[in-house]
Amino acid sequence: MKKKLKRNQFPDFVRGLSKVTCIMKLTLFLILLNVCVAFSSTYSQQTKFTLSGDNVSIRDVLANVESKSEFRFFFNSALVDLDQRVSYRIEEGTILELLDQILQKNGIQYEVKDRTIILSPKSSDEPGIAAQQQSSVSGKVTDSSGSPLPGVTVVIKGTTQGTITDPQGNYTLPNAPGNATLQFSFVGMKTQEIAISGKTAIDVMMVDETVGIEEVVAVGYGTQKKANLIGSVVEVKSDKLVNIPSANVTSLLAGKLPGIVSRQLSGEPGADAANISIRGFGNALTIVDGVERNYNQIDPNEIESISVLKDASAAIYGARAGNGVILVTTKRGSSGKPVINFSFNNGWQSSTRMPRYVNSGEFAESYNDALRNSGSPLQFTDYQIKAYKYVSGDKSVTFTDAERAQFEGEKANYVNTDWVDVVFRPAAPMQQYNLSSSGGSEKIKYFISLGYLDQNSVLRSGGDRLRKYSCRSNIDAQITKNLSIGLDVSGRLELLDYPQCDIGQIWNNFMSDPPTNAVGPNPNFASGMGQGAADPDICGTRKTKTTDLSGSISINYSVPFIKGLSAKARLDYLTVPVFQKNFFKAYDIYSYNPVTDTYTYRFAGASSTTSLTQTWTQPVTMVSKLFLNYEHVFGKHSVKALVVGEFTDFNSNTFSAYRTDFYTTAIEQLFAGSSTGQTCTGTESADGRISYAGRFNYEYSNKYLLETTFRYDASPRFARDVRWGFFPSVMAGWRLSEENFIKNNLQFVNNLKLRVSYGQAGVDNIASYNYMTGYQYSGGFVDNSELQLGLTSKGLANLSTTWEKHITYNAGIDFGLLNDMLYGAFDVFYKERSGILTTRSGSLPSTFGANLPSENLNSANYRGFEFQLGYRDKIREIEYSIDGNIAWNRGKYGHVEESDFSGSDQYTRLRYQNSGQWISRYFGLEDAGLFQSQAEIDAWPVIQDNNNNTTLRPGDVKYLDFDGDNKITDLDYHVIGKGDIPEITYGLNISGKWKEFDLSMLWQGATNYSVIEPGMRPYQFTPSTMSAVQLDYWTPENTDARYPRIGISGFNNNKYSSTFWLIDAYYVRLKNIQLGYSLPKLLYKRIGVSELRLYVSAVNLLTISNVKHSDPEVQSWTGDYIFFPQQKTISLGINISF
Amino acid sequence: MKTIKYLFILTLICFFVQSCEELLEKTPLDIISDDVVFNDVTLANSYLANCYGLIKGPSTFQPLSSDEILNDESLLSGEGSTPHTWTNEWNNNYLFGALNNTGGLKEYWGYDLVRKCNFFIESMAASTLDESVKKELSGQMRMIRAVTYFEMVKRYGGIPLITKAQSVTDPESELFAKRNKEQEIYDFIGSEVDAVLDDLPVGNVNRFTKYGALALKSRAMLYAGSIAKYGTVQLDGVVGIPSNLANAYFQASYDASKQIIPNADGGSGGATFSLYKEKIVPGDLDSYAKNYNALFVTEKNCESIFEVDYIKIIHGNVAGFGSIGAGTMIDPAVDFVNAYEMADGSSGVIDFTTAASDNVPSLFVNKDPRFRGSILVQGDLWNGKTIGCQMYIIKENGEKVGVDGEYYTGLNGFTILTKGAYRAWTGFMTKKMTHENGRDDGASPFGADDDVPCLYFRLGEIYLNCAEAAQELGNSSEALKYVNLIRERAGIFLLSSVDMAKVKQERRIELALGEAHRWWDLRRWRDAAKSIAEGGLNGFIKKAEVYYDFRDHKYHFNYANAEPYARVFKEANYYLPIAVWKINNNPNLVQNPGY
Repeated sequence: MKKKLKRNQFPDFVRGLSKVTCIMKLTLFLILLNVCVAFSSTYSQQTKFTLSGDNVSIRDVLANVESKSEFRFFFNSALVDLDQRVSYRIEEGTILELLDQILQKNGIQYEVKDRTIILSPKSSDEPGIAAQQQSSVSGKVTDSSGSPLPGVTVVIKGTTQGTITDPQGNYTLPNAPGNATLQFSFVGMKTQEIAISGKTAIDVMMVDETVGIEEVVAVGYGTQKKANLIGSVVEVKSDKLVNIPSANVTSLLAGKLPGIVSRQLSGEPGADAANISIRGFGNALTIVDGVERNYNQIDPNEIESISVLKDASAAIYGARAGNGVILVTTKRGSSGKPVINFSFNNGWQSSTRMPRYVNSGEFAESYNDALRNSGSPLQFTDYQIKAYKYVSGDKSVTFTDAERAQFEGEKANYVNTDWVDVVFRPAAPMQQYNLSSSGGSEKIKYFISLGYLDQNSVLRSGGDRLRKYSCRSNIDAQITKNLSIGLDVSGRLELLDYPQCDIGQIWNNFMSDPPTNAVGPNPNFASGMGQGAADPDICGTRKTKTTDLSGSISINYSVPFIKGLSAKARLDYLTVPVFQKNFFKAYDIYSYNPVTDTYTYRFAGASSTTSLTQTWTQPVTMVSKLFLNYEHVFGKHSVKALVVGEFTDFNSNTFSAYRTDFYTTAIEQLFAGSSTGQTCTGTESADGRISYAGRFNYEYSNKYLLETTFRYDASPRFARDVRWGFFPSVMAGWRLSEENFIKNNLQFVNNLKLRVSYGQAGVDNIASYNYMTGYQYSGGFVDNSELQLGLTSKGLANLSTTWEKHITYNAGIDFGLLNDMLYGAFDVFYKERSGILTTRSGSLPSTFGANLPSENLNSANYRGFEFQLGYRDKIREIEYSIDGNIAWNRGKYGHVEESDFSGSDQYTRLRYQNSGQWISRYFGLEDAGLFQSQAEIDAWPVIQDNNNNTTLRPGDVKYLDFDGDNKITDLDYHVIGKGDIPEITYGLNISGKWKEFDLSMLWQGATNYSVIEPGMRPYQFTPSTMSAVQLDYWTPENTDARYPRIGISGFNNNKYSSTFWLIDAYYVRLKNIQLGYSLPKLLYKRIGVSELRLYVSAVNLLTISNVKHSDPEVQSWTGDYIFFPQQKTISLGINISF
Repeated sequence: MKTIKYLFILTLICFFVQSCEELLEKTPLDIISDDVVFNDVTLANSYLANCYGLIKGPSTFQPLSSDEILNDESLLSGEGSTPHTWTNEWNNNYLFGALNNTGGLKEYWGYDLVRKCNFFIESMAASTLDESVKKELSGQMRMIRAVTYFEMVKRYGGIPLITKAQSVTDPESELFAKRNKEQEIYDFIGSEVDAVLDDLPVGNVNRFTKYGALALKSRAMLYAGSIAKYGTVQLDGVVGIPSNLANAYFQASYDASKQIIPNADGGSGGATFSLYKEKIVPGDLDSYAKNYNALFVTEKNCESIFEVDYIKIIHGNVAGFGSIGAGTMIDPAVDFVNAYEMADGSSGVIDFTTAASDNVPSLFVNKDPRFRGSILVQGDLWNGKTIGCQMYIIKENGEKVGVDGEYYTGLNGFTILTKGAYRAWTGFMTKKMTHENGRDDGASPFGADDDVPCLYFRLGEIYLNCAEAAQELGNSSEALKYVNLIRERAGIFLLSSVDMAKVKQERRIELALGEAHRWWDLRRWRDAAKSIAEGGLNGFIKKAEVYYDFRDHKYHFNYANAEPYARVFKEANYYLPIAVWKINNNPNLVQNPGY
């Protein structure tokens, strides 16, 4: 091994060099291309051109103009004769001069509207055709916003007779039969048919054609028309992403896509990403513009779409795709007028749920109760309790005269501090800005975006803060007829500041009790550990600076000789260096006496020494890809084929340094620490991947769809012999709605598609290098006053360790009725997961003594469905849509490597055996309420404490015996609930539009999961976490209590996990509601603004759940409340487009 | 155009430059390959170092101190305002007699370390290193393995004796091993010591030397002897040792002890070790107390045979019984306090229901100096701080108050915190294994960051092992000699005769608090199932909380049960249960009786 390392050092360098030269060549090449493009793309409307021709048809002239300019011609060939031959000659003339020459004298008039030129017959050239008994019909055609629509073709159905609307949207058909039907058509709009029925004036509002059917969806290594999609793929587009102000992308997905299970565990800036899983599986592979990477922190304004590949459609990503794939595509430019968008929103975040802790009066009373139950001397006298109640605002307190006098004298000693209010503030600001521009010509298209986000937190110290600066530039250039390139560059600087203590320390260190004063006027003395822990000025800082830089070059070449064949090469480079600086400040906790204005030392704060750790990590990924693409249509047969080769190289370096014993906490730099005890360390890791993938699509007559993919994947994490894996998939679809029997008989069905799929994929981010043995440093001992480092084996090797295998079966149906007014999809899946790594320790004796290498032994299977149903319509001027989805999934263990329980009794099997059981189960005892009296305890036949119930007291939890031995033992634990991942998730999107107003709502929720309530410790008196809801504990006076009797450290009997604490939880959350108002265009059109919309938006405004005391998405099996509360955000925003 | 085409082709070639297989030739960059380790003395030593660090007990201090609260010495103190609950193992499984076949109490199934040892010993045999180096390294590893078996056998009785690094393909009969007899394990420990005695390094008390090995034998054989004498043979000898073997084991222990004891004291150990007496000023009881305290905080002192040291920077807060917050880790119980005799030979029992003083230390001033070297009381001075550990005060009007941080000034002008700054749940705190010059972090006088060594074997124990073995063998005069050598060093009157009770009493005092003997001793003597009054572990341990009474201006003691529930030690607990998951894995592991 040693030898090998040496030998590799030199080649490493050489290899690196060859890569550098490769990049340099590419760069040079691109610069050259850019220069060429720049010269050829200076066309503008003012350009004069020189053209001439003899005896050519007008049609050909127009085609020539179209190919040389941005102008487009609209005409109805039934009305204008473009086959007339003309001769023309223009030198340095404008388009108008040309048109005058060729059209004027041929009976055609034209109208220029932007870059659209509308041709129509000259009105003077309408000799008296009005001979028949026909009346004239006229009217105005407008678009959905009411603006006149020129160029709309109006034809009498079944004839070639018709006209085109003029620039004001007006049309006149001078001689239309009274019983005829008019047909209005325009590109991109729905064709409308209206019977004349004797009317002479018919106004029409054209409606945008629903593009859904021709919509394109991103799939692995390409796109697919939505109509012909046969995998289970769901997609969310940019407009649905940016409408919720959020600091991260993952929290935008909840509720929008069927089959996405989302759980957000924290509301802390920078840590508020949701855990997203597809169909409840593990971490999905996330791909951003073709490269595996994290997408969470990308500015949502940069994202064009997010597609989720749930079934065999993910198989093209092979060994990583077992848990599904999330594809993020960023925006690109399109030719046309440049569009500049500016958006800004300013939000206020506040906590969705915040526990109310006890006040001083409640504190003193419950503390005494706990002490009494635990058999300890009481802490407070009756008078003191009264006094504390009094200062806590309890007006029912009555003092005796003597007490009153005493209280007046020592008033200042009685305080009631609301520590939550000391540490947290009611609201914190968040701001988001984004400026983007897109557009381009036929040759060059661009999308450029600049974003900034500033998110503060509800910590009163302002200690939590996330700032994010992001920019992106995606450029496409057509170099020659066959060659185009793309150059994408993006960067992000993320500054995340936290106080040194994390949220758990802050919660757990609230200075014990409300009768203590908060910090006094002298800020040098930190009072209250929570107060100190939440304040970076006191406890120190944790700062993270993430610089995300990525660039990619792609080259696309259409092979000129073979129609439909193209080749593409793409190189991606990305690096995300993370710099972390952890500064621990030593501090002490004091108590403050406002009467004497004195501070008394209590104890040391979270850190007793000042130290600084700096860590720097630089991961670098390089991916190169080669594509070969072929698309062709042979009559009714349509064929697409794709082959990809993908090569990934990854390397990461970490370096960290530490010093302690700082002379002062004022200088937060390494040099200021003592060199005694300083440490530094570093590591490096490497990874790579080679993959070949392909896809073949075949469609017959747009009815029968077939797709098959393969991937051949290799990873160095596994031994040479098992390194390569082959992952095939096959999908088939049948578009019933294209069949004549549907078309003719069920005309209201505009879309009906059946889909089935089968695919194999894997999960390989497991057990890297499990095939190698070896030794690494670990442990050691002090040998003669010096540390002798230890060396330990990595464990036994397993040469055959490989990825998990996932086989997914999926069947689905898509439908759209009444022109997609009602639409929906239903998917059902079954997945077999095998080769889950586990050790044989379950079946090997415990005396074997080694960490056996993990082997691909366990299996599991999952099943579920997703259903989506939407409806959209328009009632007068109100457009609205409702789109709901629901998904269910559940997993079951297949084979689990464990002891053989076949010989044991049923209770042991039930308790311990996993094979063949549902995965999501929660074990506990079944309670029967609380003991109300000693007599009840004496009569209780079940021994709960192994001590003849002598340790039990009234107010303790009563448990039912499950296995019938009249003793509470381990075997009485049985399934009493589900796990913490919801089995059922649902979402409902409602949106509506009326005139300039728009309103949208997103409801999201989940159920079939278990929560331990209320995320605190209601059985014990913990000064720092005694919340008001816990006051409902059992006392002889409060026998109808929710919680058992309280003790100083609680009573063991009441701590067992049981139905007493468990909630079969559900929640429904108004994730977002937004009301927008677009200012009437008239107001700002003059200043070049094309759209101006103001909105007010609220996130997490309302939560309905049977989990009352903590956020229903967080889970705490330990009963600790250590989470950063979820945030609800209310914001005002503005979008402006130019 | 042509140029562009060529450039394009060139670019494509560039992409291919990345050779395919190279991308997959990645290896982890932080591991050392197999073949190197056992042929390189530095690396082999590192492997050994890892195993030294894994020896049960000294690798972290906490398991040692959990012994103290299982026996009748003390209860666990706590930080803040509540007594600490020492995990569930203490609470559920032992104190309430709930220990059952799910195990959990003092579990130690050290077969991962056994395997490491076996693998090392096998690999050393094939190594290319010098024979002498191989022997020295293997010898130490065999001792680590022996001590690991000792830690297991004293918990469970007989266990499978596995002396090779097994492979998954080994025959099932070997893999699914049966439990060996308890006797076989003790014999293995003894014979291993004998086998490697001459191969071991010399002079380094951090490693197993010849004397470290002999000390292991001295202790292990004594255990085997007591079990043979006092225990019963069950499960065909899987637990228990035939009583006719008792004397042979006592003799083996006696012989091993004698090989360590210095010539001057009648042994054959030369002058390698001697009892630690550096701080003693003859006639000054305080100096004896200081000396006893210094013995446990002085690294590599003359009495140490095998010890584990700590380096503060690396190990962080490793301290004997140093501070946790405002107290020491364990608080001695009243029964244990009363077990210390007076230095002059009179009874040390104090009636705490009536005892009262305005100067509490004066009540204890003539006790065995080892008391003052081990235990702190109200009013003691330690590291420049006066220990104030009153739990509450009683005002002139009889009102009882005990609030953190609240002062009260009485009519006599005396100002006192109503609840002391330090926590002493029993009225006493531990001084043994805290460093007098420990770092004063401002909060606690107990030295939170001390790097107190752990003396795994020390000469003092060997004297007492020798005395006990001699007494069991009927050689009472030899026993008296070694007991008195210990008492002489302690600064307490010398005995004129000994019996087993006196030998046991001496062990209880000399090896108390943190040396992890008492619980195991009570088990091997089969005393543990008796009541606390009879020297066992069943019943209530007592506290004597201190409070200040303004009515007579004195400190008093609240003598009461220290815990709400009685402690329970059942006959079956002489052997801990084989946890059910181990039996599920291997039905050949028979369960111990009574579970």
